[in-house]
Amino acid sequence: MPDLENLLREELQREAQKVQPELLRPLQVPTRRPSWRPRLLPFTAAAAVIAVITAGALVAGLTAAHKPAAHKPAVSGSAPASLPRFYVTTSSSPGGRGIQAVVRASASGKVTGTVPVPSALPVEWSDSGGTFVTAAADDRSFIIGVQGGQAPTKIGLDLRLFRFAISAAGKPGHLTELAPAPMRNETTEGIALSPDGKLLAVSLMRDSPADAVGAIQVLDLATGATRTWTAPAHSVYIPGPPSWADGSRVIAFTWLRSTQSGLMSAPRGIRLLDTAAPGDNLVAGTVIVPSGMVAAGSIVSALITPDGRDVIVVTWRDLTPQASTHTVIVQFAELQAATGRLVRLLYTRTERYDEVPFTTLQDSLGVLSLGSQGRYALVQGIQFGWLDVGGPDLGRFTPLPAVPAGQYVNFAAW
Amino acid sequence: MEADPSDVIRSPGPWPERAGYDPAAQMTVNPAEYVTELFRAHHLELVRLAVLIVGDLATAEDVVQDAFEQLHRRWRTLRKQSSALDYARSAVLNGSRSVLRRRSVARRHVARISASSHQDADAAVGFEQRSELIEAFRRLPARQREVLALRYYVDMSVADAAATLHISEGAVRSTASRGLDALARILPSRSSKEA
Repeated sequence: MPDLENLLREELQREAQKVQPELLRPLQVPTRRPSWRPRLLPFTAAAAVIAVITAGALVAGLTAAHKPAAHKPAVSGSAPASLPRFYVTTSSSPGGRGIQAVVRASASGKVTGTVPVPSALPVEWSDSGGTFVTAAADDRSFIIGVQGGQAPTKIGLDLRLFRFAISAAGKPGHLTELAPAPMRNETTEGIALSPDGKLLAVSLMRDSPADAVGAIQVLDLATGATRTWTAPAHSVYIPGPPSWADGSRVIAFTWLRSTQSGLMSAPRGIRLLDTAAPGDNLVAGTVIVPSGMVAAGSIVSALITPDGRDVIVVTWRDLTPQASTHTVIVQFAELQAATGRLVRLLYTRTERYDEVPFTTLQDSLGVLSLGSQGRYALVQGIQFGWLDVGGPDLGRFTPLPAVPAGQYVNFAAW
Repeated sequence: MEADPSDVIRSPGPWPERAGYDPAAQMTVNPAEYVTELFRAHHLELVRLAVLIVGDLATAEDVVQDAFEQLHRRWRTLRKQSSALDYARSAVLNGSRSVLRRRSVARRHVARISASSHQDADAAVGFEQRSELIEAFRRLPARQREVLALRYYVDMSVADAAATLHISEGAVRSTASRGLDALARILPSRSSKEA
């Protein structure tokens, strides 16, 4: 296809040339970090010694810089009886056109069925994380949210919602669009069905012409009625994916301020929102984790257990920030929801990364879905898989298949 | 997303319009200043590369700014200073992919702080008046766009594109082939003309 190649070369150059120097904002040179105060040096030195010892112990088992063994799911047949039987992810349809929902058996990882999400959706979202999935407490009903339908240059995206159910054998039925979806021209961060399956919570940034405002919107699936909690205007307050607890009353969500430095890797705090309380202020609820740090790691993602007692978080920390290869520790932990205090570390993995994969890792970690009983979580750590967070084998991690090697699962549900 | 320890980032080809620029020759004793100079020198080209992937100017600028801050903060981690531009390209592509994958609220929010001016800028840039081929390109999966942009915009060799994307040369060839096939399918009229 030499003609097409030449034409593409010309068109790409022409498209790129539309960006002219006078249109660019100047680069902002980062300011130097303040130097450490001398009076902290003794403590810093002691902490450094401890960190080196800890890092050494953690790294001792590593033999080489990050081998791809993490992407060889080793699903065994010894799945607990109470493990949700199926999990759902989304992926590109065969041929790269459109999106499909993929149902897999949790015990084996085998695909039990797929169902296409309407092909009218932009292909470019199929591998870019513009899809969300959440499960009802019956473990058989799911809702998929898809952003798309607008020009790529437009800020904010419409969210289309589809409901489907799977059979006892894991075969998915057809998708039914929930119409009309109320979320228009907004940037979705995550969705979550309430335990009773009646309400859908959506974390989003509302894209008004003047400003972007963090919000959580709850949609009554039976009536279409919505209620919205909004962060104060100009608060640059960004909510993360929601999760439900205490029946269908409390929503937990991670949050950060967009003014934080190194935003995508900044630690997230955790807040609760009481949907039974009056008012529409998103930040009126309880802050259970203000600092976003757990056991010296930065919180990336969190979900509250359905009984409202615990919060499961994933954290990361770069143990060797000055080294040519980063040694990263990823931990899953259980916090007490009432206080934010650490209950226990559930699972720890350490890996080494070169610079660019390292930056991707920070953005990919997630506690993706909790089973209806809150015992098992679908997680994306260094690997994708399920983690025992309240069952008989606490801290057990089992990898699961979902995406090709080198990719991460952004949203999954069971 | 793991890196092969044996992976060595190769020297890329010259950038369009900047083939004569040699940032290494401009290097001062301060590597942080070197990174700053490198980004200043290649700012336009990096933004253009990001625009091809993410589709809008404001987001592309944010991606490049993020990449700049990453490297500025971590210049000591570069295995050799001469690979900084390779890392910059990788970081820009990585950041672009991240934006697409998660619809990064953060970067979009930063963009919206001056949203109106950037919307005006996008309009001025004329992104809404794309050719049929570019529209088809925009609908390709992100990975195919990245490979095609490196091969046909940056004019990288297969080996250099593979090193920049941390994938095998075979993967670059197959991804490029799939991308071109998809473009040919999307543009049946052009395909028939070629035939």
